[in-house]
Amino acid sequence: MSSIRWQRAVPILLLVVLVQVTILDQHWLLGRARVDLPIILVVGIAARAGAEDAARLGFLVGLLVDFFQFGPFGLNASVLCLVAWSLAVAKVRMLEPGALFHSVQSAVAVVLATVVTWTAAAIFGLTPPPFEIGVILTMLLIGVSAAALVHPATVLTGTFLEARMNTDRRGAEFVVG
Amino acid sequence: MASPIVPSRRILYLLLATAVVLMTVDSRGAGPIGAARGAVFAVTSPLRSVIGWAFSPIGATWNGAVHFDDVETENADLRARVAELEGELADIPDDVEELAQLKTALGIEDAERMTTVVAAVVEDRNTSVERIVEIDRGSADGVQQDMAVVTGQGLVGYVVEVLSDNRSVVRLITDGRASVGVTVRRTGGQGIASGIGSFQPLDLDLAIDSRGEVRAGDIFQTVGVDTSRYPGGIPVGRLIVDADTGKTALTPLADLDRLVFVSVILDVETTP
Repeated sequence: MSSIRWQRAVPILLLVVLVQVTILDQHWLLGRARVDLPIILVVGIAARAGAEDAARLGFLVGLLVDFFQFGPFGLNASVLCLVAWSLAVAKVRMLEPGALFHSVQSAVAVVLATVVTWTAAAIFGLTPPPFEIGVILTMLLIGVSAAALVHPATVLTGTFLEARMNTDRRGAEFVVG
Repeated sequence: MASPIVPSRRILYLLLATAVVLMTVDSRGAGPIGAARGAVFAVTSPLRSVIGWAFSPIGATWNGAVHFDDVETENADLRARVAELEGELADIPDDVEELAQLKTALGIEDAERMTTVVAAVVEDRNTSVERIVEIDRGSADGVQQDMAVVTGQGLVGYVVEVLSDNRSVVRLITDGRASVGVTVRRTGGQGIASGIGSFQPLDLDLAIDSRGEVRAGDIFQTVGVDTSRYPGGIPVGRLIVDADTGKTALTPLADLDRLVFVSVILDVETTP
């Protein structure tokens, strides 16, 4: 059962990706890291959506990102789809506690998603930042931006999801509330 | 209360399989994805312009705050450089005249004449894994895929995709998927310079018989063999040598950090 309101979801996700492409890709934090709204939004989606919807929306976000990048077309779609699905399945343990815990774990999730993206990109000959000491600062900046923005992202997600879904430990999805 | 719904991983597998198919189609250089990408760029162009305009005051403030020190340092460097060049400028007319006289005396013509089109950089984006430079020239200006892109200082990269009549995307020589055959005029030594990432020097793999001949500071230029997308003689980078490991690299001569205008080489006319 899908709770996605596609008429709202598509323009909102497109707008987020365009803001990323037009603004955030050109302004880096301390010259090292950039705020990655699509990944943060995917974490927000995973916090509210069931695993199937999260996978669908993660795929859509990634596909939109792929249109504006020139790596292998489908790379971001596959990574964000997998990240969204994994977080949605694991959210009973990861994303259900209080707001602060939610921020911290979202930051960790975004950092891990970024590393997965870098690794996948490296397989295709792209060049992620070198793994030097400065990469710790990069990760820190990415994590802080994610922690700060994941709550607005979750609220935004609520505008195009009809119901809040969750997944139990056996993998069964259910509507919350 | 909660109402149970039967879970399924089929959708995940289906979506991942779709992504793999898309990557396969894209890696074969098939047209539909390039065309779709161009269409999405064209359709969203007005909206991107509006978003860019709306956020430009914030962007300007951000750049002012973040890059202020850099700009001050750069200004000081530029003033010093202007003073130095003004001194050299005085000698140029004599040098040019002398060169022309020598060429006439020896019957030498310029080996290559390049037809270029100047393009403005309209977007310079850094994703987490690649840098994307978009220019305001496209198919209407004769720009085609794989054409070399330069500045007055040296090689910038090549056109990786022509998006529309007036938009193309440039892949920089620092990109991990870019490499170029290079030679140093002083010794004739050759090698291959490969990108290893934005804001990094180019990795230089010298031919075995060239390794002892080069020294730090040598300027390397494109070799320009027939199979290369780059014409010969374009300056690429200055050699740096790691004192400990002996590893060689090239610092790009073109200022790739702040590209404003570039030239696309449309055609190279070689005189016999």
